[in-house]
Formats: sequence, C-alpha cells, structure tokens
Amino acid sequence: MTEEMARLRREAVSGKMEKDRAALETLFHFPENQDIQLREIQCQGSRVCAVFMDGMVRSSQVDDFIVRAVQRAGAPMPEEGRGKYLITQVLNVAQAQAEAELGKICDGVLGGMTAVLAEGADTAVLLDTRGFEKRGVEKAGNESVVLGAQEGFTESIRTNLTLLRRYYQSADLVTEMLSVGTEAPLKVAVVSVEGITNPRALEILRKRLRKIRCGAVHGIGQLQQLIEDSPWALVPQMLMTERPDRAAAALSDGQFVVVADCSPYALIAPCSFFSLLQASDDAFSRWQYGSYMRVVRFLGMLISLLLPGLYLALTEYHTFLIPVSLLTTIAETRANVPFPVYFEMLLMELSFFMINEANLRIPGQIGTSVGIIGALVLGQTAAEASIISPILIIIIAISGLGCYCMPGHSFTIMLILYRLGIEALCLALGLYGLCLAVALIVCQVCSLQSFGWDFMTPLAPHRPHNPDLIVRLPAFLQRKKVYARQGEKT
Amino acid sequence: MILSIRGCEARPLSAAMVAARAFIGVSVVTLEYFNTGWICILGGFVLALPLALMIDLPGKGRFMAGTRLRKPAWALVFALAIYECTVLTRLILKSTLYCGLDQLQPLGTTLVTLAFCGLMAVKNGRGLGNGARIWGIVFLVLFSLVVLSQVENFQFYWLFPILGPGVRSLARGCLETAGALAGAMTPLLFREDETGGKHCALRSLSAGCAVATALCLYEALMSPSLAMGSASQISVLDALLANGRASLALMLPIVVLWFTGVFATLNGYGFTGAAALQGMTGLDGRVCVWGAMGLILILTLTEISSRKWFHIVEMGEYLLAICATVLLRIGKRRASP
Amino acid sequence: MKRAAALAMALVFTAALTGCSEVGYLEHQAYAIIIGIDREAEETVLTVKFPQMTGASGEKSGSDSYVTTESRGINFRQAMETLKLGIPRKLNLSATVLIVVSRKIAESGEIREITQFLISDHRLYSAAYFAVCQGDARSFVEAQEPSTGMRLSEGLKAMVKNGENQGIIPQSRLADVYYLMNSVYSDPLVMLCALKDEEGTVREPGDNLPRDVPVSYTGDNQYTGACALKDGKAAIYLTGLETIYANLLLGNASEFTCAMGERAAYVTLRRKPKIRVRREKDGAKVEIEMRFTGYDVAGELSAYELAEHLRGRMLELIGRCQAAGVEPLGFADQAAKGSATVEDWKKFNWAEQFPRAEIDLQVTVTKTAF
Repeated sequence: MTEEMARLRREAVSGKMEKDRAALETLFHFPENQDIQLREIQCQGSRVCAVFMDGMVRSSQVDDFIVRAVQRAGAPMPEEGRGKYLITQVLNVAQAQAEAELGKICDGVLGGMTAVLAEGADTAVLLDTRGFEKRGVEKAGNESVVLGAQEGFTESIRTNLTLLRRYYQSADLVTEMLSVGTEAPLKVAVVSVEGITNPRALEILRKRLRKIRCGAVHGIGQLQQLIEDSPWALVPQMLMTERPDRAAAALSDGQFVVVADCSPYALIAPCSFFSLLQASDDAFSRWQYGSYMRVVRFLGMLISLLLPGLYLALTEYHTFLIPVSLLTTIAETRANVPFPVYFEMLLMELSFFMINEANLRIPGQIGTSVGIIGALVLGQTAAEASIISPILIIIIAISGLGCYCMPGHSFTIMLILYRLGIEALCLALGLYGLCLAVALIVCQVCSLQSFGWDFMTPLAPHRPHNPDLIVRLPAFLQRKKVYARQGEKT
Repeated sequence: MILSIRGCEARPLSAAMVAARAFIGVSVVTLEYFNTGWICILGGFVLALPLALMIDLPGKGRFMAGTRLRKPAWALVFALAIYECTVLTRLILKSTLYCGLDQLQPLGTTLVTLAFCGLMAVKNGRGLGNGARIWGIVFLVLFSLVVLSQVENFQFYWLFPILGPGVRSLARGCLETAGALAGAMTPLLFREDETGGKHCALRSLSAGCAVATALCLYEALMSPSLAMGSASQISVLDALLANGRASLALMLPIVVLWFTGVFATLNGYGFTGAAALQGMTGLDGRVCVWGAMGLILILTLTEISSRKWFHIVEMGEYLLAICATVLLRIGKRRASP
Repeated sequence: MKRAAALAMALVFTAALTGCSEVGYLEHQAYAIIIGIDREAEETVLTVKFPQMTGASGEKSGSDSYVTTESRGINFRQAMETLKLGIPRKLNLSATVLIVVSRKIAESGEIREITQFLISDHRLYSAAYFAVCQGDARSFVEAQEPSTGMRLSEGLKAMVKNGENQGIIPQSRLADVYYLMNSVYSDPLVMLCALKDEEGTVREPGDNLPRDVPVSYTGDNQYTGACALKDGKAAIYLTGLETIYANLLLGNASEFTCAMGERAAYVTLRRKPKIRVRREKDGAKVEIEMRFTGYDVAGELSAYELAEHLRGRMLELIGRCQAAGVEPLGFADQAAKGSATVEDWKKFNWAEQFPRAEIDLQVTVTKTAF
C-alpha cells in the first residue's frame, strides 16, 4: 500500500460529495476496478451516493431499502446531523452505523456492506446488506463422528459465530472482532467466555494478533503459524476443528476459540497434547465406549510412531529379540528381496505417502480406484515380484492405519514426520536409537507451551484434573474445575 | 539463555536420576554387593536424608549464594556432574555393545548420545523435568508388566544369605549409595520456585529409592548373586536384560527401560553440569551446554579411569553434595534481605 | 535454516560414524537351531543344525528343510571358530533352541568352559535348553527332525514344555545350568536325552531312560531323565521316574501316576514341599514334609502303602545323591537362609555337610475316590 493510499484511508469524510467520492474511487481503483458501484441518488434535492461491491450485497435490499427509501424520503435533509437523520428517518436497514474514517468505510464495503454518503454529512452510513454467495452449513467432512452433532463450520465468519452461539447459549459469550494483515485484512473473531476463559492466555493471544505485520493472512492455517508458541516444533500447539460442538465444549473448558473469515475451521487454545488425541464423540458416547475408542487411538499413535522403527532395529541389529519361528519366517520372506530392509521400508513409505496424496488430489469419480491400485499393484504385485517382503507391507499398512486413527489431520502428518526421523535413528543405532528418538520427542513435546500453558499438562507437570485424559470416567465424576479455566494455576 | 528449572520439574527429574543412579551403582558398576543391593539402597536412603532435608529447608527462589561462595559451590556441583556424565556415557557404550550393537563405532555412539543430551538440555528444565515425569509413568507401566509376567520365575531364596558380603561391605555400599543419591539430588539445587511442593527433595529421594529398590529386588530374584561374584558387568547386564528365564518378548521392555533410564540420568547430570557452569561463569546457556558436552566427550574417550579409587570417589560425592548445599545455603541467607 | 542444515549435517556425520553402513542383513545369517557338542579322540566336534532359507515365503518354509554342519577343533572355542569359517553365512546363535553335549563331554568337566563361553556370547539367547545326550550328540542332532507338522524350533519347545509339565525332565536352560554351576546353592540338574536304539543303563523295569520309552512316533529322539552336575561334571544320571521324584522335591512337578507293580494310583502334590535344614552339632539335618493326594480308582492301594512307597523312592534318590556328593534337590536354597553372610555360608560348607546330613522325610497321602 502506498503512502498516499494509507494517508487517504486515515482521512475522514469531508461532507463534500465530489471530494469523498473521488477519495473512494481512488481507494477502490475505480474505474479500472469494475466491481465497485457508486450509485448517486437524489434525496429531496440533496446528493446522496450509495457505494457497494457488486456481488457482495443483496441487490434487492439495496434497491428496496436504500435507493427507493432515499428517493421517497418525505422531507428534505436537515443541514446538521445528516448521517443520523438518514439512519433514523430514511434508510430501512436494521443494522446501520455512522462511520467517519474512509479506511473503515472501505473495509466495510469490502465486507459486503453498503456505504451511503450524503452531501454535507460529516459521516457516512454503513448498512448491513451482505448477501454474497456462500456454502450452507453442512456435515463436517474431515472430522466426522459416529455419534454427536454433525454440523460443521463454513467459510462465512458470521455463520460460524452464529453456530457457536447456538451451541453455547450464554450471555457471557464474548466475541471480539479484529482484522489481521495490512494489505488485505482478514477478519478474525476471538470468542471467549467471560469469567471462564483464562485471561492470561487471552491477553497473550491479543498481543500476538496485534504483532502480526504481514500484508495478507491467507486463512486460519496461516494465522495459526503466526500466533502459536513454537512455530519450529512439529507438534501443533493449537487445536484446529471444523466442529462447532467441539469449539463450544472447549469454551466451557476455559479455552478460547478463534474463527476467521473464509476458513471453515476454528482454532482452539490453550491446548494440550491430550486434547489432540480426543474426538468429540468420545464425550458424546457412554464413558466405556469413549474410553475404549481413546485407548485404541492412543495405541494407534504408538504403533504408527514406533512399529516401523522397531522392525528396522530388530531386523538390522537385535535379531535375538525376535522369536525363532518369526525370525526364520522373516528371513525366508526376505531371501529373494534384492534390497536391504531400510531401502525396502523407504520405498514402501514413499509409495504409501504417494497413494495418500494421490487419493486426496484425484477427482472423486476415480478416487476409489487409486486405493485399489495401491493395494493391488504395490502390495500384492510387489510381494509376488519379491521387491518388497510381505511382512514389511503388513508393518507399513498397520502403521498407516494407526496414523489415520487420529482425529486431526495435522497430528497425522506430525506422526508421519516423527516416524521417518525415528526410522533414521533406528537404522543408525538400533533400539538405542529408538530410545534416543523417543526421549527427544518426549522432551521436545514436554518443553512446549500453548499460550502460557505447559503442553503436557495436566500430566507433566501434574495439575488436578478430571479423569478424562486417555481413559474417560463417567460424567458424574468429572467434578473438578478444568485446569485451563480462569483462576487455575499454570 | 538462562538454564532454569521449576520445582515441579526438578522433582521428577531428580527422582528419575535417584532411581536409575542408585540401581546402576549397586548392581552394574559395583559387583561385590551380590543380591543385597536393595539393602545398600535403603541404607543410602537413610544416610542421604539429612541432605534432602537441608535442600528442603524453607526459603523461596533459586539458591542464590553470595558471589564469594557461589562460585566454589557451583564448581563442586560441576565437577560432580561431569564425573557422573562420563561414567554414564561409558556405561551406555558398554550396554549398547552388549545389546547387539557391537558393530557401532564408540565415537559415533558417544557423539550421538551427547548431541541428543545437549539438545535436550537446551530444551531447559521444562522439557527435562516433564519428560522425566512421563518416563516415570512409562516405567511404572512397563515394569509392572514385566514383574507380573515374570513373577512365577522369581526365586526368593536367592536373596539369602541376607547380609550377602557382610556388614562391613554393606556399610561401605550404603555410603557409596548415599554418594550416588546425593549426586542425583543436585538438580534440586537449581529449582527456581517452590512449585515442587513441600519436602520436594525428600519426596523425590523416597520415590527414587523405592523404584531402585524394586529394580534391585527384581534383578536379585531373577539371578543368583554368587554367579556375579566371579563374573563381569556383562553377566550383570545379562542377568538384567537377557535373563535366561525371561521370554524374548519381555526382554524388549527391560532393554527399553534400561536405555531410557540411563539416558534420563545422563540428561539430568548433563543439565546440572551445564547449569553449574553457567552459575560459575555467567555464560550463555547454550554455550555452557555444548561446553559441558564437549568436556564429557573428551573425558569419555580418554583412557582415564577412576576404577581404582571408585569407592572413594563414590563416597566423596556425598561430601561434595553436602558442601555445595551448605555453601549455597549460607550464601542464600546472606543474599536474602 | 542454518540451524536445520547444521543439524542435518551433524546427523549425517554421526550416522556415518555409527554402524548403519555395516548393518547385517537378516537373511544373510545362519541361525543355529540345535548345537551338538561331542568329543572324539582329542577333538571337540560341533554339529549344528540350520534352517534352509528357501525364499518360499512360508509356503514351503524351513519347517522341513534343515542343513547339518560339522566342525572340529582341539577345544570348544576352536571348533566354534572353525564353524564360523566353514559356513557360507555369518553364524548367529541368537535363535538357538537346544544345546546338546555328549556324555563324554559331560563327564570330562568341559561343561563349565562351554557354558561360560556360550553365556558370554551376548548374541546367544540364554534361555536355550541344555541337555546331556547318552550317545553321541552328532547322531542325535542329525536325527532330530521336525515333528507333528511344526517347525523344528517350535516343536522342540512344545516337546520340552510337555516333558517339564510331566516332570520326566528337569527345567534345564542354559542360564539355569550356568547360574547354578557358579552359585553356591544347589547343583544343576540337566535334561537327559538319547536316540531310541542307543545303549543306556536300565536300573529296573519302569524306570525309563530315554532309550527304553515304549512309545514309537515319527522321531527317534527321546528326552527323559536327568543328569546332575557337580563342578561342571556329570555326577549321577537319573531315570525318568527318579526325575519325577526330584521334580516333586524341587516343587517343579505336582502330579504323576505312581505304579507299584500291577497297581497304580494318580498322585498329586498338594503344596510345595516344606524343607527345613537344621544345623546341629553333629551335622545338618534336612526335614522335609510332603503332602499328597492319591486317586486310586481300583481301591487296591492304602494311603499308608502309597506314602511309604513314595517315601522309600525319594529317600533312595536322596541317598544316591548323597553318595555321589551332589545336591540337585534344592536343599541348599533353604539351608542358605541359616547363614547371615556369604562368608558364613561358605564356612558352613554345604558340599561337605550334605553327604553326611540326616534326612527326615515325612510323606502324608490323603486318599480320595476322585
């Protein structure tokens, strides 16, 4: 943004139609920019101009409640307080506000509002006429559950906030609207609950949001990278969800929620390692079922992380730890394979990642066939051709399954990356390498913080908590105040 | 970067170090206590109690001694930690050779070990302390599994003759263990707050000793001590890790517990050494960590051995730790308003 | 970025220093399943059975294809070195299931050296079974084939487990033998085996040594009886029935069918034997209390008769051990409790005390119809 533009944005409405109109035209690059509409209307002899973005407003609303209302005004506008007069006497739109600063008027128009300027008025009127095309509330696609609410966030911040309000109906629910980015500001809402959300964490968030200096923030994913505690760490320190019920549950646990425009996800923080392992139907199901599902998920995580490395360490160095019958079976299946185990594993891991990526990117109609090709061509045929040993295919398949037990996609990717590191260390140092890798990962995860909260709380350091970490006991035993709530010690 | 650790983090770290170091001391490093290592640990616990109580004396904040007394105190702690790190790094080398990793180059293994130790120390007390707590939980789960599945193989008569090598040897063993325990409590000297709760040192000492005693008893019940008298450390590792009665699948958790336990202790001492160096010199934390690791690497790879004076050095650790604590305490009183 | 590059370089450097470039391929190794050790003239002969790697992915796996290799040397160590040189792959002892030594080896006292070597080789799984073979170990190893459709290793494990449960063989793993041989507790009891047609010593009908087991199945290898070692040397051989009594005294067996001529009763040990060793002026006194339940369907045997029979056979066994100066029955384990320190225990000198010890064995049998 040039100096000239920045200066213009800071200027106030002058009341002189020609000048204000020219300023807005400059700001919106009119007439090169054909999306901006500046509609002049006469109001009992006074000049009025409606400024809106084509496609972002509901045309019928502009026609009926702004243009027609101004044209049919019963009396001439007073000399003083024209902005207020327009709001109270002329315009028939419920949500209206007077705004003097050109920059803010500009942002409003970009967001789908209509600005009404009047000759001689020192403020413009911003009217909520938003009516752009958007997706309706649909089922959450990437975080599906068997039991529980099925609605997911959409790309509209307003809809998302409405969804949150519906799931958390309390007068204490507070929404702070901010925008981040200097060139193309992104509308961000920080949702918290007065008296419950931890104020320290909230203050840290505000500070970090204020510090963002980049021109444009593309979606909530990038926002997360800009505000989380340790962007170098592999572990996500904020929970990303597309489920309003989960976000509402987080609010009652003392966490805050960040939603951004154009992103069908919300960020939850402060979050702990355990919340990344939890899915929203854990709490919805009976406690025994929920606990079972979590234990399976936890085991899936361990298997996915450790099994390939363990296989590599055992077969390369510690054959004495493999029972004899299994040892000879492995040796026999490997007898005709021309590659060493580590190369075989690398090949198989790469194939697995490629199948995954292809499955994601391929058009829907032929997507299912990729899975079949992957399974048949890479699995059966590779084993038959003695390129890969069948046991390794089983190992990679099981660890792949373990990965996809995780509720969050970023956690899955994190597991895969850690797994590759573990495999490298196991290749170099066998079981000792495995122990070193696990120790370093644990140390790294334990050293992290999420908005002032230790990432492994309430386990390490220990904090009083409900019996709801891996195993979840019945709801009537969950009486303790959740550790992240206001007033609890960090 | 300032190397720091909170009370709630120093407690589990110290407990893990106490457990692993006491067990290593009486079972692997010193072979002559037969199956009475657990008695040495209990005796060492009693002897180390005064030190724990001294560390627990009320008073908030980091142990801040006056300038004159601070440096010698941190120097004592530094020497103790570096010595322990060297012993532990050599032990890791030996046990990796034992566990099927005999084709590894000692230099490579030591470098990787110390690189990881340094990386973890740079994560500061939060990573190490909380990590030690997680290790404690994993240890309890794995060790319970091992004990439950091995209980039918336990031979209780192998605990007899109950006084093993005799009262004199046991008394020396108790003193040595007290030295090991005192050294393992030094991270508590760095704690910067009282979040570890009341009797922080006492609690970590008790928990660590309980775990070490359980480990010693497990080892004693799985193999007769007298075979070890004529054998080497390799036989002890065999008895511990690859005992003939253990099924193959059960060797895996024990091997994992062994490596992680020794490594956790090494990390604790590595951090303590680096923090003491920072206390002495006031250098940046990262410089201290990598400086300490470099020194440990040199000492590990040299031929210098303290085997001849091992007993004296072990007992000396007790005095060193007490001296350091007293110096820091005196200084603290003077420094505090 | 610089940090990441430095870290990556350090990792590559250290990886190059570690052993990842020298890792041994799993399939490039020869896994010894059975090791037989013989002495012929002045040489030690090793006979080792390896599974053949067919690469058939389990369809026609190594369950029926094994290779037997032989090597010689002036002692066990040299024979092992020769074996390493002779086989086309790297020798791996980590999968060894059975180590068989010939009677000659057992009686020569070489067992101590052999076990010391094997236990020091940390690539050997020390829970391998250890057995003394009545004939030559080579023929025994060659004749050992997979049975009942299982792989050799699994078949051996199942068979030994079955023998241990019945009490006809003692619990004899390499680690047990090594530990007991090096400790000052009781002496080790080693499993006895033989080929069916080999020469053996039969003491009386019913007391089966391996060759006399009146059962025929696909294999010729029999595992019955035990051999007690004293200072690494075979001191006495126990028949299958004696081994059952030894296992009862050790508390390792709990039930067996006791035959008295034409009559028989099913006997169950109600609880582990209570053993106390008293130190008296004129020597040690071993007090043993054993309680059995006898199931005699025909009702031909009285409880007293049964108790006396059991007592007699067990006293006979203890007497044989005393005469041979070997104590494999676990009395030392109890006797050691009476000493405060190892030094005291050594002074007490159990090896000298046991042969002169007075044995007080009380056997009680409660007879039931079921």
